[in-house]
Amino acid sequence: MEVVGRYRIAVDIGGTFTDSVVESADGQVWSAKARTTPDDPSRGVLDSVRAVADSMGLTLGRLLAACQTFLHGSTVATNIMITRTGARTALLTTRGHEDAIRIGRGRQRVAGLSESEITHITQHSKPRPIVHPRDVVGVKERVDVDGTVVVSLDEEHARRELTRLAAQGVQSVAISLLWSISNPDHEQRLRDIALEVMPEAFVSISSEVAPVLGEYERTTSTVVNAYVGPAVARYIGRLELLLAEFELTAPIVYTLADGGLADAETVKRRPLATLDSGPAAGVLGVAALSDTLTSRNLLCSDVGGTTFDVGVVSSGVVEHDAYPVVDQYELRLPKVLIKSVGAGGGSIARLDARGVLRVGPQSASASPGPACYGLGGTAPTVTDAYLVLGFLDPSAPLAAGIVPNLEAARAALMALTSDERPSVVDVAASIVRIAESQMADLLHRVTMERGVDPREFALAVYGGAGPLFGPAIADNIGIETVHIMPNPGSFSARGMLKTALSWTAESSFLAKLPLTDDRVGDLRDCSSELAAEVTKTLSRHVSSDRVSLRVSVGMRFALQSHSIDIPLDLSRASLTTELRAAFVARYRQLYGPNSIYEPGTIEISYVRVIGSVSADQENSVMQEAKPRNGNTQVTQTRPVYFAATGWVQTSILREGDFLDGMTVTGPTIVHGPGETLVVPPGWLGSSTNRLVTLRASGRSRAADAVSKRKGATR
Amino acid sequence: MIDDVTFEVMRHRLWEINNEIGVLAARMAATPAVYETGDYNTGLLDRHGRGVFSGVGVIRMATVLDLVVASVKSTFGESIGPGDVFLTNDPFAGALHAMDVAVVAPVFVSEALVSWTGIVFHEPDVGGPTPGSWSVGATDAYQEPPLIPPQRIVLRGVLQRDIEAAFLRNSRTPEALAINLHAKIGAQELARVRISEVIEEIGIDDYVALLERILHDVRSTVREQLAVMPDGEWQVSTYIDHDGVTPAIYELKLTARKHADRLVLDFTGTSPQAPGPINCAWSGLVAGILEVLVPLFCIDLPWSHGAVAECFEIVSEPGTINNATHPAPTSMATINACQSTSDLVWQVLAMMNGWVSSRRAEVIAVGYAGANSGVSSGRLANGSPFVLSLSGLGGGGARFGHDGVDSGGNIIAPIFAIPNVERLESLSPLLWLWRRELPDSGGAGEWRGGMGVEFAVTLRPPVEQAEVTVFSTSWAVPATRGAHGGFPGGLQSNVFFSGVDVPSILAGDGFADALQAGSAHELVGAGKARLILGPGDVWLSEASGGGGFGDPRARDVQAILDDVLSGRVTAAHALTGYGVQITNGPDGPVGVRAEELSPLRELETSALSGSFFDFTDGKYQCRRCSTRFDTPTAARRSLSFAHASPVSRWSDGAGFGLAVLSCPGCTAIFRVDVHRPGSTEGDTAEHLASKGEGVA
Repeated sequence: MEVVGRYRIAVDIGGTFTDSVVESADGQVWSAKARTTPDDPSRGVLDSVRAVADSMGLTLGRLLAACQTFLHGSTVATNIMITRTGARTALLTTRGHEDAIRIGRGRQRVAGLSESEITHITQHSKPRPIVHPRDVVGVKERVDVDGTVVVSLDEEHARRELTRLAAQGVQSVAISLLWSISNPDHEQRLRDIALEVMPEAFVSISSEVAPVLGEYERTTSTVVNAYVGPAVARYIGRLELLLAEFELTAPIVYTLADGGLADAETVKRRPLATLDSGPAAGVLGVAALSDTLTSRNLLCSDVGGTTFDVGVVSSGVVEHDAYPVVDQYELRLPKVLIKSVGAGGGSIARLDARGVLRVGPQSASASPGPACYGLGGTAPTVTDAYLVLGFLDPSAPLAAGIVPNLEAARAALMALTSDERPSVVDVAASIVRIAESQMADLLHRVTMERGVDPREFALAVYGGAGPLFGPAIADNIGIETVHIMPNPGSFSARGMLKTALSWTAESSFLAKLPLTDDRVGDLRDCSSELAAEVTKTLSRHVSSDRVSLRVSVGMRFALQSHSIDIPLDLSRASLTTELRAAFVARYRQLYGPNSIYEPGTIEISYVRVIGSVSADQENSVMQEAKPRNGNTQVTQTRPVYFAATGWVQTSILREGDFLDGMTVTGPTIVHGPGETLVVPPGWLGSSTNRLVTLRASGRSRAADAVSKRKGATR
Repeated sequence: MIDDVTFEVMRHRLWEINNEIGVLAARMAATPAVYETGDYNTGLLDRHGRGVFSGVGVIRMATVLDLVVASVKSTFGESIGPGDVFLTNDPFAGALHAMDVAVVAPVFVSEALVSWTGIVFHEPDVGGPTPGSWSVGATDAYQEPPLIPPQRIVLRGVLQRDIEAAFLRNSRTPEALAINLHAKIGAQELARVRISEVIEEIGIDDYVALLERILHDVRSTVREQLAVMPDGEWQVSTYIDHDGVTPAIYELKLTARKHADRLVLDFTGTSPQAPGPINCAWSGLVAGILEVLVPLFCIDLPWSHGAVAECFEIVSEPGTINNATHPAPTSMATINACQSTSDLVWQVLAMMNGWVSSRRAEVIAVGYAGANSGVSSGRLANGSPFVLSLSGLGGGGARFGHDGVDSGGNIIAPIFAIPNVERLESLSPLLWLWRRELPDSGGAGEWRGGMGVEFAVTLRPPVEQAEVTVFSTSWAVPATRGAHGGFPGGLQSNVFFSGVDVPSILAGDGFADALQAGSAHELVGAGKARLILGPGDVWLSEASGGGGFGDPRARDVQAILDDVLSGRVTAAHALTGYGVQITNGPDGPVGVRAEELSPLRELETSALSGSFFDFTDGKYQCRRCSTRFDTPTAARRSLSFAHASPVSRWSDGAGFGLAVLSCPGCTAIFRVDVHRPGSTEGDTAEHLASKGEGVA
């Protein structure tokens, strides 16, 4: 790879902290964080980059001047949606269908909600509108399913309405007409008119933003794009100016929700694509490292204070979300799959009406925080439970920079004691077990919905609390290997440094089996075009000989909506027979022996090409290093309460004690700056080139339960 | 004895398993009604066949699984074994109606029966005289789709091809039916594997104890909640205004008697079963009750319908419209007698919960009942046949403190969705002129009922005809009801216009008024009918909004103005329905209360027992003017449905109307009932016998 400058910089804005990671051409890594500044996030970006420059012994200007690539994940679009502080946006849509966005197919009242919210059926409500009903214009026009114009566009009416809206202060215009995917003429014409009437306005049309069937999701996507557009453009402008003042000459590259990268101009046109890009980067980072891990099937677990986020990497490839939802609005945009549950260190424990102990989804968040923070929180949380059980160092600061107060934690947990749980320790152990099992259940759901066995995966953990929860979650679902991602607290930023390493291109392609020779030819053409597109995209970052391609087709029964991904090998002679056999076998594997109606008509629904890049020097972090002297010198121990063993004297290490090439035997706890790594009894931890891997090897009760379960289902 | 942490962990896991199975089955489904609309549900039952978990789909579909399992057990007895799967669509064997085909399976571990699982999809067509199987015109079960009593479709893991073939033979959509059948069977087999894994982990004894404890906890909680409600007796009625053959009106009646933690639901007085497909069997009666009580009582608890079912007694005479006996026709059971049953229970619970401060947040007026739908069928331009389901979407009932959900649909189907217009147009030769929230359709109240959806459909050339079967209720008498002084939502209607100049309507500004101006029209005064749509014909369908909550004159003026500005309420209705005049001020429109009832606003309603009323010494007491009264001494006034909701203009109400009961001292509205033809008496009654927790 050609090196222009010496450093690659990634900056990720999170809810509390803005993380920066710098990687040098020779593979060295530095990271630092600064407080996120919600009023103007570019300030936090600058603070964070300055902090990392400090840790490298450079000035901000020197670091930026030597920057080769500046990667950036921003939460600006997400925050605008959460706080509803976007531009006043008008929606131009086909007359008679103005309400599509508020009808929301009826399901808007529960879209994206948790099951406890969905089941509380008397309390549903629709999200706050993004566009005021008065700013929705029914345009006189109609196109039908074939793209035929049934009613031609009444341009004068549209112009009058736009003039009125401009006078009222509308800054942004979303245009979404029925069947614009079959014929975009009217949308394009309306855009021209809108720009004539208000040349400064941000204008989005649905046939460009989300060209998919379904007016509701296409409209919401277009409206959200227009709503966040002006603010995102302003932010980008401000950031570029600010960084240029400090000598940054490399272009800023922005990460997208699907894990791709885009330049500023692309993001300004389609800011929607940056929604939720932060969590995506972590999953991308895991995928990029997957070649060097024990498995290319990885469950990515980001454990934070309030939520537990899960992504999936199968065979080294990131899984995407077919049905993304943002604030109860269903959107259509390519997005990495992230499933969340309200569980984390801040989750509050309580007794329900029947006296059963429950944990979450309510959270003490960062403020007031767990009881042990001493910031006014009195509700017992999972962090308090871990502290009482000895997992956290009562004398050292936690991630938030606060030295925990053990007595406050004990006092909070005391409120939950009962006949069945007479001591504070009993309460703490129960809380931890419930929290860990909820996380495990989410992992199970995510894999189950994909028809795969979680035990065929390794767990990749990151987030501040990841190394603390990781092995226990793994035990819960029978995973035997846990990888602790490097710099877990700022791993999303690290992940960005890897985001260019895969690219997916997909095209809808409908063909019923058996395939005629003509259709096989079309299939060949389509996959070649996609392959060329993927190779071209990736070649911007690496030489094309390092790109490997995986071609697949979506297959389903012709009446179904959901497709199954089946590898495509066009060199095979009896393509129809082989595709059918592969589909039937995969269907049975996913859904069981009697799940398939074999006489049903089978069809191909899409062609997909995924390009990935083989590991190279960039991933040198994973290379084997020579082992040093076998075991670590343990100088300190502390009693820690593990579910499998009860209280046990546990070796306590500082991060600096756990060096590359070493192996530690559980029970051991390693305290890093703001992070706590747990190696439970029966687990071994090894550190290889800054990457820690835990393996279940001993005879812990949980491991026994796992082998028992495995035996039963095989 | 299972420890309580394992209890919580495994309870969560089993709930997840039950929902996961539904997601997987829907993914395999071949019909938009399942994969896009969500017209399905799953259940996980104990070894006796008592429901421990209902899924988040259509609640009534899961609640009948217990009855289906009971039928399977009585049919197959000791021969039920590992690897078996059963199906039925017979309402007299526990299914809801012919199209809701149920599949259930036992779970055996080491030869021991440990659980049952079940799933129901709404199927596109299972035969009978009408495409879609909603059998308009059927006077008995023999004129409807074939009913299939429990069959063993999988025997010891082996699919029975003969039974499969017989089942598929009668359908107009056999391939979709087949793929769906296999999806349901596959889902049962996946559920069995997952449950077996749980049992591997905790053992059979703890698994059995776990389910027992969940059922026990839910039973106890329901009884505790009943105990805090006042003792008393509540009488309510609702009506089905067409039986599928003739526009006859049938009454369903419920007297609920509550004493301590006992609840008796007595349906005596309900009309005899009808010679039309609106009846439901015992299954529909039980489901209609449970689909209300389960979500209302199991808040923050598993939806254990098997436990809730043990917390009340039913009194009902066989041969009545919601407890019909064979060969009564039942193909429209779900959205008629079953839904009407739950409308009765919603009404009673809105009254009962209103007297208990801790349960007031659960008070909800009766909203859209799912009963304004249609099926279109015929041939596409390329000659291939189509059958397309067209679900209506109404508004939710208003809550204490919140408006009803606009275009939210039937509350007992939490994940229900209507397809996009583009999806519908891609599957049919139809063209939607509009689909919108219908102004003034939400019931008036201090908190307004959610708005219903109106759509207008025509044919797209070159296709020259399509058949439409419509089936609706509430065209003459509203099925929605207000709560505590709120008004019902608008009536539903299906109107056919002919000779319409479609392009000029599309290019113009008007809606129904424009259709009416330029063409002939005919109200499907039937509610249920089969019609042919030809060139220039337009079918207009209006779903009802939800009922309102509280006296509408107490509604915040700003909220009314917002409703007017956002098109939810017309200025005319703001005046007649809410007493607020909308005028143009210097800074834009303003609302002015025309009739002075504003002091109501100044009372902090959260301190009240009902909306504005207390109950002391056997009488109601108005919180506004302190007047004491009982139902006979309340002020009363009769209104037409069209007065309450101008969208009801298509119908004359068939002699029914609204009976508005108010405080004799200050006219604050106490209750809005329906009165029957020739009477001004309302059709509800409340007799509080003792002080509940919330009764002063």
